[in-house]
Amino acid sequence: MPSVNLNYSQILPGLKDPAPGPEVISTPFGRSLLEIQGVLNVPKEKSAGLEYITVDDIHEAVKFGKLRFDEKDKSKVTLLIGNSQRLVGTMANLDTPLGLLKIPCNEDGSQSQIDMVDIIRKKIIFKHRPLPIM
Amino acid sequence: MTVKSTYTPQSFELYQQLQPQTAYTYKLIQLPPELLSCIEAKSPLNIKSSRLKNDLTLVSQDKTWKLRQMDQTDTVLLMDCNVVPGSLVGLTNLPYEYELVSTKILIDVSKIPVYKGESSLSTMSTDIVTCSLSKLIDDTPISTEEFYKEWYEVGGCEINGCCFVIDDSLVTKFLHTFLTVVISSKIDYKSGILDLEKFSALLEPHGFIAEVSNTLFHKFCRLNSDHKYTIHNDKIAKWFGIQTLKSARSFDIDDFNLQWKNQFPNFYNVPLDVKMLRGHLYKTAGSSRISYLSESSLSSDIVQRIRELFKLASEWEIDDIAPYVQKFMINKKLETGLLKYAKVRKVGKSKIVCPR
Repeated sequence: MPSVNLNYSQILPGLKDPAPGPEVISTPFGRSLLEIQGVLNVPKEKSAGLEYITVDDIHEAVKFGKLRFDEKDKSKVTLLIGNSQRLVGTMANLDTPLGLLKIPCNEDGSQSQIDMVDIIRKKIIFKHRPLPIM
Repeated sequence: MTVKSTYTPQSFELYQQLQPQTAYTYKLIQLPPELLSCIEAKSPLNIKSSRLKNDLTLVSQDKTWKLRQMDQTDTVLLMDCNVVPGSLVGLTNLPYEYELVSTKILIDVSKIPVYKGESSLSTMSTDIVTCSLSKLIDDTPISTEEFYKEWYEVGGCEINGCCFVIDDSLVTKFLHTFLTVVISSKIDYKSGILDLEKFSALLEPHGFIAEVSNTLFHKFCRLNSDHKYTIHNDKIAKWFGIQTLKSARSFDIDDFNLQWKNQFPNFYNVPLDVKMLRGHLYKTAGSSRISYLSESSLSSDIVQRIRELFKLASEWEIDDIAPYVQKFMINKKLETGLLKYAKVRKVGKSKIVCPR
């Protein structure tokens, strides 16, 4: 029977840390979640007219927007997508924290271990429809 | 990776990777307080999948959760702020998260051979596929502690490396012998402490091998807070009650009580009450007759099950119907849950459930 060990040793050091304040947007490992309504369509291959960076010297990543935090209230966030759309959102604490599982993709589908590599307590969430940029 | 806190600059450039990593995938799993406690206690955790169904479970030493895939309607991106300073890079889209649902999973004993005594081993057909206890534990998506509890409950034991389920009539025979030996040893069966090893040796000359005794001690004895075993008399009484119920199509309650008492060995007297057998019987409306009803004989669909229950008896006391329907009323009060399928009316002090 397929049974795999869930290795959570990586998250143990920060497990008892208190929930971070609004000025912290990511986990101690530098990860965060961003939730937007609808689907984000990004090109499958590099194409002209868009801005790109390279991740880990292998993967291309396309620029799709800019995230701005309110200077007075750090929990308020604005997301600008391209030159035409603006979304207003918040930095929300999750009721139930989420563990991030990193699952190796073996060709035969078997795994000997699954790692829980992070614990996420916050999410940058945009619940509303985009607003036009004036 | 270096553990550091990231403070927000005023703004971030956002990027999204064109192709996700191929060497691994990321998934989210909810961490309710119970699971966080297990992690804090550094209790081993395993993800198991059932061979027949495609269900995934997360098991600790003593708990089992079903992993329910909750699909997201929105786009949830996993962002990394360590790739380029001042930027958040979307590594992948996370289309769902796993919700943890506390669950009770039963051991599938349908293919495990029945042990009727030593002769079972010699006369066992070669067509029967046997498996070891460790393989059965591996094949059952349940925590080890819950497994053993359930295993003894179904009367499972491992003999010569093969799993068996002890036959009901052998269990009854064992209880007769065991109780007689206890009484003849001048031990108070109501509260006396039992030395299980000693009793196992005493029962061996009567044809009960140590493996059978061990299982049935765990099934019918209670482990006290001071780690000593005493006889669980209610469970024994219930066992005899169920066997009596199974022996005829229906009984008048007074006759039943008499027959139930007659099942016990001499000098063994414990209080009896038909209420102890709830979940194993139904009462015919308007009469004082009761009949055996096994939960496993009912449909696994709640609507169909309610229909079947009302076909057997047109009215049920709420406490009598509860064991047959309780598992469908997740996060609901029984009465509130039942109102969806039936009427509940108050008669005197009791509540009666009847069809709409």
